[in-house]
Amino acid sequence: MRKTRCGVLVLFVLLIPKILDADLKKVISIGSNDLNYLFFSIAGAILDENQNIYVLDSKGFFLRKYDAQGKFVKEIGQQGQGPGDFSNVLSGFCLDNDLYILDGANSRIMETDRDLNIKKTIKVEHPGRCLVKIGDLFYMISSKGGEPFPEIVICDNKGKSITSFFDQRPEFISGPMSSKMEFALRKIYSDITMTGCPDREEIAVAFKFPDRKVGLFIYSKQGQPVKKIVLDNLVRYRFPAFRLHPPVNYPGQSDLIMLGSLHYLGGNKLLLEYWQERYESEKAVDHKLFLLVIDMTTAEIISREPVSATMNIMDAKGNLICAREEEGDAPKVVLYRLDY
Amino acid sequence: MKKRLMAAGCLIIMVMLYFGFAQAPPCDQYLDWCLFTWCPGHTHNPDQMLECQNQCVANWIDYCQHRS
Repeated sequence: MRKTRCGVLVLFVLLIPKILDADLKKVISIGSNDLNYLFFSIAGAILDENQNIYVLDSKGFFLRKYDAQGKFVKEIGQQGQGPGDFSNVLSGFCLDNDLYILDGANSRIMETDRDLNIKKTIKVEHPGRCLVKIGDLFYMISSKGGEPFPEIVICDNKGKSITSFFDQRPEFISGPMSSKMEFALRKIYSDITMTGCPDREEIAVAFKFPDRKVGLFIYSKQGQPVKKIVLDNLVRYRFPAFRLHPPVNYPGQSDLIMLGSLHYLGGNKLLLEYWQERYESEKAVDHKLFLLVIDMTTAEIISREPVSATMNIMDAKGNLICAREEEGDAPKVVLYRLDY
Repeated sequence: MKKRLMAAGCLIIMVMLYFGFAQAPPCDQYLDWCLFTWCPGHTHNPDQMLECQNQCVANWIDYCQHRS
């Protein structure tokens, strides 16, 4: 009887990592030397419910639409400050039937329909990055002048800043600043990533360099804290702490966890992209990239998938993930299906 | 032939320098732009990202010390 119990326990322990494992399958890949499929610097990609993909290129100064089969449909944009022009496309967001493209250098958000017909241009007072839209409100990551820490600025549908929120600080940053170098390092190590959950009317935010545990801060659309999700089973690490105070005294070995991006999959699920790197004698010796699917309600990790380190997740919806990949010569946008 | 090649090389370098610097914003916006726009768009793992961000900080301190 005891032997059977032990056997079941061993089997269960062996199966735990398998339960968390997911399956990532390539659906389509877009990118070649053909003019309509050639990318220069992919700043973002937006995925809609019909699997159409909209690609933002910051060096090509265009927004392109590809259908669910990866076939080119339409392109708009050129370099400039005029109507329909782009200077520095940073990110985009799809809500209902429209696309919203943030152009930081031109301080504006371009609104188009899904056929890329321009509907209007919204001038924004203080353009940030990582655009999100919920209802009539826009959200962007920004920082106050003279402050190293990020905040989330809420703008109305005319681009006017209404208010801001997010006053969380990483545990490892404390005390007064004594130099410009420290100011800049605080900026780097307090950086955040965010995503909008339009149907829940919530914003999820996380520090890119987390404290000892990865935490997700959930806010209402008005910027009120709703809850904090702590992922207990990610390893503890102490990477930024020793890098914050120059000259840096590197330990022989150190670990780095860095969050890449956060995406809302729909329902109560979030997708988190994170890196794990091991440093030995100041050099990264091991790069690993993981995708986590997290239940926002129970704070459980539903799946953890190790993926190719050449991926950068740009958008995700349901079980589809849109990534930028830089393998070979031509940058590509690749659509994957994540089964978990 | 050598002179032509050198002239072409110089021209390419000048064009690259022009476009490289033309993209960079003024000093009051340089650090945010470099850390959060330039580096994520030009690096593919955190190690490269941190190297790029360290370079942003060095550039900002060197070139923007008396301007921002």
